[in-house]
Amino acid sequence: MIHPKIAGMMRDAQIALKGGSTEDNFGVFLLGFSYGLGAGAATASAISDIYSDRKFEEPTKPDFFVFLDQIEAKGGFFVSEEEFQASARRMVSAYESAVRSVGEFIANEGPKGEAEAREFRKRIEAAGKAEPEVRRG
Amino acid sequence: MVEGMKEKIESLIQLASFASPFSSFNDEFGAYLAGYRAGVMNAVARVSMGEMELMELVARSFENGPPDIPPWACDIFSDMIRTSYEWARKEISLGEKTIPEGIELGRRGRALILRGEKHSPKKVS
Repeated sequence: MIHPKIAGMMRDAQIALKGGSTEDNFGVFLLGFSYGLGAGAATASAISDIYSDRKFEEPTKPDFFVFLDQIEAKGGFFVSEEEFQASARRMVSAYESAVRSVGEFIANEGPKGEAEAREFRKRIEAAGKAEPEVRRG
Repeated sequence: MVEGMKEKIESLIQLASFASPFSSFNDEFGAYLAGYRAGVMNAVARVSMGEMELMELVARSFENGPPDIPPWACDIFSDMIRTSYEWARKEISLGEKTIPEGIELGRRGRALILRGEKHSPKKVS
């Protein structure tokens, strides 16, 4: 049984993914938010074992992935209006906070810091498109 | 038992910190990184909520500034983020091809969410 905290995170991740798009900043932010939340939920999914008093040593079925399969089989989550509103508030708040913190970073680091970060993003993207052998080299 | 979670929380904070300086709304990948970082930190906050030891750990991590990230972890984080970005782009472009009306629906939904107006997709698949 997946922990409600993890289930809640995955519900938000699905909502964010549905609103995600590459055509505007908020859409791209939602894509990133969805995958970031998913990564956090997957990493923390052992919390289910902790709360249900299961021991780490026990060979446990990966509940997280079983849960994802169940969602897929059902064709998605059903969310109430209240759940959706709460989720949307969290996302907008995170977006506004990110816009602020990115602005602060640029203000603190100046154009040099901004240019360095831009260069590094290009390196990450380029490395992802390169052949594995080239990446290792 | 919280011990196991401490390590996970610490590694999630490292992941979010790694994405942080590269976030920007000047380009698409930068905006994706900003969202990714926010998503990871949202997960950290939700997992630690109600667990005093974990909440203290998160609070301390903010007081101490960005954590040290070993180079091998940077490589892993870089791979994780890049892979998820490529997946996200593929998934979205597939969705745009198969359900073109979804583009307009998504655009309207995002605008409503940003304006704080009521809007629910009901079933989220």
